[in-house]
Amino acid sequence: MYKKYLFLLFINVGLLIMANGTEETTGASNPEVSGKVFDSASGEPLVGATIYVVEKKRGAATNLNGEFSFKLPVGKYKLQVSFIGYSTKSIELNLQNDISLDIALVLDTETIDDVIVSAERNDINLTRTEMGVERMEMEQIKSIPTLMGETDVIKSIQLLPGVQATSEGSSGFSVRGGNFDQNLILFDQASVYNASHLLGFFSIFNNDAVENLELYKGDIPVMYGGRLSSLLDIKMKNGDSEKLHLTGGIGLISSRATFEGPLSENTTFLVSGRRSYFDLFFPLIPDEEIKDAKLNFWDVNGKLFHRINNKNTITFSGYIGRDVMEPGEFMVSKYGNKTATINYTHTAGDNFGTKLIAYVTEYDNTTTMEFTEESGFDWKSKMRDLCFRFDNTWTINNWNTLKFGISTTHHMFYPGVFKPTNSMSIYNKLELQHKQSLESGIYLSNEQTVTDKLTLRYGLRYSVFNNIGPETVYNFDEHHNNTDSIRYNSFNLFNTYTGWEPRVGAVYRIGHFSSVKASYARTVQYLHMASNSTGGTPYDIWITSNPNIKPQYCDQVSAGFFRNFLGNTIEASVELYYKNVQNSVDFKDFALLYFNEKMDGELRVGETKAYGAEFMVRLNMEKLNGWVSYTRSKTERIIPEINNGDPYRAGYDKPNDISIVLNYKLNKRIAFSLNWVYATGNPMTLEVANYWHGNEQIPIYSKRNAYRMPDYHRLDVAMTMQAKKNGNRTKLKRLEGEWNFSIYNLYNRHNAWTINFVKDEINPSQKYAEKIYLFPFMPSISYNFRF
Amino acid sequence: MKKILYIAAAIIVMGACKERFDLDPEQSVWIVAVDAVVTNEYMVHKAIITSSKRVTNTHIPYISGATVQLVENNTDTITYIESDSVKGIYLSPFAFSGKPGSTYEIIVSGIDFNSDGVNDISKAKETMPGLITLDSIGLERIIYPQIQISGWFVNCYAWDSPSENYYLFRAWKNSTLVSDTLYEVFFTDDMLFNGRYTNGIQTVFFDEYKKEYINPGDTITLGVYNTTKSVFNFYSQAYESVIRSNPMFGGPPANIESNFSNGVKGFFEVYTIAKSTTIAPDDVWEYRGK
Repeated sequence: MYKKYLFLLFINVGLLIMANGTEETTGASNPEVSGKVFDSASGEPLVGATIYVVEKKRGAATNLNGEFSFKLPVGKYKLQVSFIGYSTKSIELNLQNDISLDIALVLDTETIDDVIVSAERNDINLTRTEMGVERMEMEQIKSIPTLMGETDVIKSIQLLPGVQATSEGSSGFSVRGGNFDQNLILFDQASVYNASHLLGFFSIFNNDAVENLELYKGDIPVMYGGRLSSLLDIKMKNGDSEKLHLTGGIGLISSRATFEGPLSENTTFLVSGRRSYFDLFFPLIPDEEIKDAKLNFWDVNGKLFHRINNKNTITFSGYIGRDVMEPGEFMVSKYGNKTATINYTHTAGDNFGTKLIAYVTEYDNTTTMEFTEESGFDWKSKMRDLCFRFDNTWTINNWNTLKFGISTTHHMFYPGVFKPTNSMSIYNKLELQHKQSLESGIYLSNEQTVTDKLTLRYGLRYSVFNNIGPETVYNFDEHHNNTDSIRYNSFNLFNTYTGWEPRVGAVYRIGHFSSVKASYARTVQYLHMASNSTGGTPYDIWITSNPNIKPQYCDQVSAGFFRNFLGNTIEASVELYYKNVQNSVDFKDFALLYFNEKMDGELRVGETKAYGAEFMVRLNMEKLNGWVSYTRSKTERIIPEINNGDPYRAGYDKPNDISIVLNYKLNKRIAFSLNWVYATGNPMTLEVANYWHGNEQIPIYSKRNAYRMPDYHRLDVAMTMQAKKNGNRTKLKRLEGEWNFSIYNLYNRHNAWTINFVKDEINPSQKYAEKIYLFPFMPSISYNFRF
Repeated sequence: MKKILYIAAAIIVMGACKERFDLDPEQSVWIVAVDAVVTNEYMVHKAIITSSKRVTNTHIPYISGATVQLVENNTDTITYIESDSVKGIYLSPFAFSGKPGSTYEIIVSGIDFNSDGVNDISKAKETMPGLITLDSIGLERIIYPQIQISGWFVNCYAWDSPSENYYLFRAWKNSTLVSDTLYEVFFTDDMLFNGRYTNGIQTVFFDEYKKEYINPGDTITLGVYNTTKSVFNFYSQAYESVIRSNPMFGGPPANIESNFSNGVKGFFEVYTIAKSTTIAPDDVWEYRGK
């Protein structure tokens, strides 16, 4: 089957190349118009900008490098170059020969606030072949009401259809019922393992350093692999190429500052830092013990962009962040991410672009606990990836864009070292073995405009995963009891998995304002998070596939109907999807997930099925923008050794999910926004009876996730007000200030975080149900500035 | 490791709001539970048989009329006698002490465990481990109000044997058991100090927030129970079933495993007990935290 598919693919590609050659011979009377579209300030290529030929009523979009090319008969033309959020540029062209254009677009500060969920062109939602793609610009994200005044990119995507918060206030997210470890999160191309601060309540992304994000809900571009459910691609901003700027913000939780600007004509920089500070107020608390406590996070982003010449650019970017949790001297816990990325782009000719990316990403956790000298211990764990990518885009002609490339990632996991803090400690040193593996992929895809109405995208990714020695692999019998083990030597590729990952999509245009789409994607995941919690913790470790743990496979088919109204200012869509995950990983009851060399025996595998319908209406009007979405879905698992083999609801199964996100711009200074979210209550496993054991009542639980918490709903509102400029004070003339007032959970809904039966303090034999909720009515204020 | 998670969970929960919730599910499960113990202490041993109950009920639904037998090393059988004073409690007809190294099997019959109208038999078997060499115990006060911990640890000085061992710890103050609920029993395996002197490992905690004070002159006794892996797992699971209610630090809660056959819950616990006593000194108030 696969061989046949491959054969057809390569035949097709071959025919396309031949077709391209044929066209070259007739090119003399059809000169080629090519070039690049970029941001006038930062020099950053604008991906998906539209070059529209007025006379021909047709156009082209820029590729990943911001480049375009097409052919036209000799003659005079008017080109309109546009990109959402930028002023449209008109170019008069007297075309006699091939011509190359460098087109700089200027950010339209008057309209940028109006952007909601931006499309690369007004009707890109109709023509894009990928399905389930959401793109958000930072300006939109900033307008969404916040929790404690902290703008958070991940909390923003949780408002999109098909995306759920893993728990109240969490920055973890589930896409179409998938586990939160099934999301590939890229920050300026570097993958991030734990994208959260403060025990998961805030994401690591400083909004001043983020340009935009794209979320792919399953139909992941063929160049990426390794996760089943989604790709969240977050791009860091380039520095401003025109002027030095200082931007920042002061909030209740943290403050941030960003310094950016040109270093030379072709080089820009950006440095952005953030630090939470509520523990800085601890010394003001009279309690002596609290004074010394620490609970904070900080992070720093940096980026250096250099345009070597018109054909080559190079970018260095990096991130480092740290969380510190020190309730007292008896415990210090620090964890965080580090990433460093080099991104080199090269344009060969007018229709060929190459990207060479190398990055290293690391997540580590260090905890020291020392209630007494005798009980003191250190615990450390770490994960590190080193990745190389080579991506190419070849615009063969107006109808075919070929993408191909390779990538390889070396994973190095240090699951844990436990050691005494001093010679008095009673503990022995315990070190789990390091595990390394190699994950590689090669891909080829083509986007083909078959007719004016029909566009196809078809591609194939082939992934290979190798476990590398030295490692001792434990063997287990059918009851998951360890039987023996095998020791593999250094650099021994002792286990290999491979996976064919076809990704296909089609869009058929119906008239000017409608289209239907369909897609199929297979994704393979070789890494798994060793966590059975619903939200994840900073202490979670990842495990790799190995001879005991097979990779997870996901097949997803989706179809949708898209319709725009009122000149594309209203976009309506319905998308249907069905997912099937094989080798879906769960853990046995009471699994031992820390310091367990025989972790493989704790896993249980089975099947996950998810299906749903996502309805969405987006508004892109001048004053009013936002969206209303409704998702109807179901996700269930069947794992033979869990829940007696009966199907059970996945932890994120929420059949009904509604989001209303609206932003109304009253005038140039004042804007109002609101969110209202509603979702069916989280599944829960409830104590349905109990029995006595001594003086204690031992719970008897229902079947897994057989009950639900009360439905979740919440209204948040915000007002953004730009401060008036003071023209008389020349030094402050350039200062642009903005106040943001937010109220999270306006009507003070006590949404359940947990519901448990607890003992009455006065009569301990009496139990009652107790609800814990985290965030009641919470107003916040923040001030943002740009200088 | 679990300590770290519990403290992290405590930090979150301390900032959270709690309220009573109107929920009282109908009892949808009926099971039989047996709570039986054999130790090396010379005493009349007992087994308690109850059924499950509605969560919010407080009564103890004893089950009377069962037959309980204890078999030692597959040879000697002791048939328990149901107590006259509390029906559902079954007592050995004479005092005896279990022997380390011996295998004990408890057999419960005469009850319809699965409600099919036919009486069934349920069994559980454990081997009594050896006695730990207990040196002494000490007291240590700690105060960490940041995480609402304040009280006294009973520290244990003992030699752990090189074999795989599992321990429970219970404490008494002036002959009154303080670790009187399953969740107050301290338990650990020897993974992190295998074959070594425990050198004052912190065990039972006298929790000041629960008004478990120690005063100078109080007699504190620590019992070190060397037990089996399955008993250790029972306590571990029981404890974890509480922390699992936190969505951040636990997966879905699950029913605690039993070592009884035929769907019977509860546990047959076997252990050897070593005890040591100390008198709380005047300087027990020494501030050790921070």
